[in-house]
Amino acid sequence: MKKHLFTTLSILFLSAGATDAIHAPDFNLPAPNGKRINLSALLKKGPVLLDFWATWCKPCIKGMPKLEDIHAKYSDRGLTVLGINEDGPRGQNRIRPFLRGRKITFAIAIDADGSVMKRLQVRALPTTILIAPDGEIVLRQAGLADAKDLIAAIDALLPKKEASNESE
Amino acid sequence: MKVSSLLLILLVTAPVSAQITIAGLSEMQRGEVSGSDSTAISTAYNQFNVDFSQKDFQAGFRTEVYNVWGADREVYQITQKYARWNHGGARIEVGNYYAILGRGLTLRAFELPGVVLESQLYRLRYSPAQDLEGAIAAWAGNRIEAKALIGRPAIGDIPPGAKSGNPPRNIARREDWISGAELAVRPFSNLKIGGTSVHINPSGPQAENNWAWSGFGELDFTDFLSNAGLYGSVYTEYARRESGIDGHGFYLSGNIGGSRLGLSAEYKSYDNMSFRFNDPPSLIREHTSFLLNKSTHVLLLINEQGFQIEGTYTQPNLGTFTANVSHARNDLGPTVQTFFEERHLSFDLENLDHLSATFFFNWGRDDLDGLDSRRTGGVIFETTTATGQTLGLDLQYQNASRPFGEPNTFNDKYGAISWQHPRGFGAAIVIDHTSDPFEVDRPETFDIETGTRTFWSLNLNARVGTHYDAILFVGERRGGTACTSGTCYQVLPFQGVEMRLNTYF
Repeated sequence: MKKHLFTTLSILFLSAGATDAIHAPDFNLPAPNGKRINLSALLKKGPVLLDFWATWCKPCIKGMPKLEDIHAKYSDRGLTVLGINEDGPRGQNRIRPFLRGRKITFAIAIDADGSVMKRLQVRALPTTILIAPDGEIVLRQAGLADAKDLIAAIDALLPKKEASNESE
Repeated sequence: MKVSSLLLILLVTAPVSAQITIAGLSEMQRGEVSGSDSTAISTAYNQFNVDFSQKDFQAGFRTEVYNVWGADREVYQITQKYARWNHGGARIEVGNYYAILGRGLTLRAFELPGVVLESQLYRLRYSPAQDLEGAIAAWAGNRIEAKALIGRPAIGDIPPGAKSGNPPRNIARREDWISGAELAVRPFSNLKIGGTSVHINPSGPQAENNWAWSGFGELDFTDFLSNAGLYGSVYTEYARRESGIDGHGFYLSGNIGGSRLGLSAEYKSYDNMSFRFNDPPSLIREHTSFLLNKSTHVLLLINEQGFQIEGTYTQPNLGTFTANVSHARNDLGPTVQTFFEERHLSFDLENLDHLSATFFFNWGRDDLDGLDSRRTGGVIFETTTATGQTLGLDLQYQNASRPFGEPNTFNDKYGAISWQHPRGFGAAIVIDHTSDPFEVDRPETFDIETGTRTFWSLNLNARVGTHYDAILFVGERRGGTACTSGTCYQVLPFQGVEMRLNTYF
């Protein structure tokens, strides 16, 4: 049994690298003000950049200004930046003071039981996941995101600025 | 059905739109654990998470494999398996799942992602998870939220594969059945009220059935304050444990602030609220600095009352000041009381070009940890070069005293120098020096060592594409308390080489 299981796992492990596209499972989470945020509804507007973070996570805090810049620069072109908070019940009361103080204006959702983190196989904070409008995960970075790669991937998903101006 | 057969069926029958994702976590060690019965050993812990998804449906499982060379310990187990259907706000799940009722006073099923622990009692490595095995159905809409669940909770501190007795037999990690529910309504968009109920069916013949319930309310009054540029909200939950052992839990929290100033305050009163499947808010600040994280107070749900107040002030183009006061009291008997007190001041310098810095000072006491005085200070600098490389310096100092032991005053010094390349690889050298008599004395010898002890380590990390993350540790680290996501656990000391590999496909 053990041999069979691990042979199968090994084959899966090796062959999985050849798979083309991985799609993000849908989720529905509350925002700090209680409103519900649904991934599939956000994807109808354009690509979504997920950032898994917590108030006690130093690299997460360090990366937030960069995400705020991305939100400011790309939100009018259809990108949604969504921070998914993983503080759990312990830090939930501090989320709003934390965000306001740091002038974070992109959307936040609270994953109180960590089930979305599990569903997206996130094992470290911060983790950044860029999802194309069709649901495909096009970039996934554990740890502080590499800004160059991230911006290049976002640019590739969004319509060119000049082109959109011309069409208007 | 055998898992390999199930996988084969999934692979063969999967439609074109279906996908399989695999996430792996491997940790290999070659070295020794101070105070253990064996000399240098080699161990390998492997965790595979296999997910099959198609549109709103997901199914998957987790295997945990642990091998020890040089000792008779090994584990091969499928520790989680599930099938889930999600659509909009609806969720139905069978198998192993996570859930929270209210703020966790009556139930919270969760895991600590990425944490691999070694059980001191069973000497097995595993990923701690306090999950439920059963079924859950939930609906979350803008006006109504409802959850109903049933399952057997895992006892998080018993690792999979733990054995006892002669001949050795597997210890059951899940015995009690519980069923629970939550119903919450929003009569107005800024008001939420609801209740939770959990019924516990203990498996032991001597144990009584009992149940717990809670009522909660949350009010967001930002709409009333927004003209003044302010925000604010309050949340309160009262829980009772009925029949069997009587107990109660009360949690109250609130926050208010404006663009620069923020204030959050919390109060707790817990008495006999330890169910092993709940996790009420602890009201203890989560510290990321090494010396503070390892001396974090651990919530005692048998009896604890206290409060936490935190204020933050952000000065534009400079940084954020934080002040935190935490206090807790445990009534452990008619004449036995213990106290935890902590004051924390920190300043995060955030807005200088290419330089960030954190300065902190913390002082307090924790009777449960045997510390009647503790003072800790530190500075953490990070600078980024024009090529995007980050250099870091982390210096911390702690002076503490115990009411017993000789010497009863000791200090800890911690230093780390790090370098990180923007392409995802880096290195750090860590030096941890202590005169704590409990750390200086080596449990593996009969002598009582005195003086000081230094732990050196080299840490290397690399990210290879989007599929692999690797961390290599070489050196020695001490054990003790560590906390992740608000949950604290004990880590064992280790000396040797450790390699961790995260994979995702």
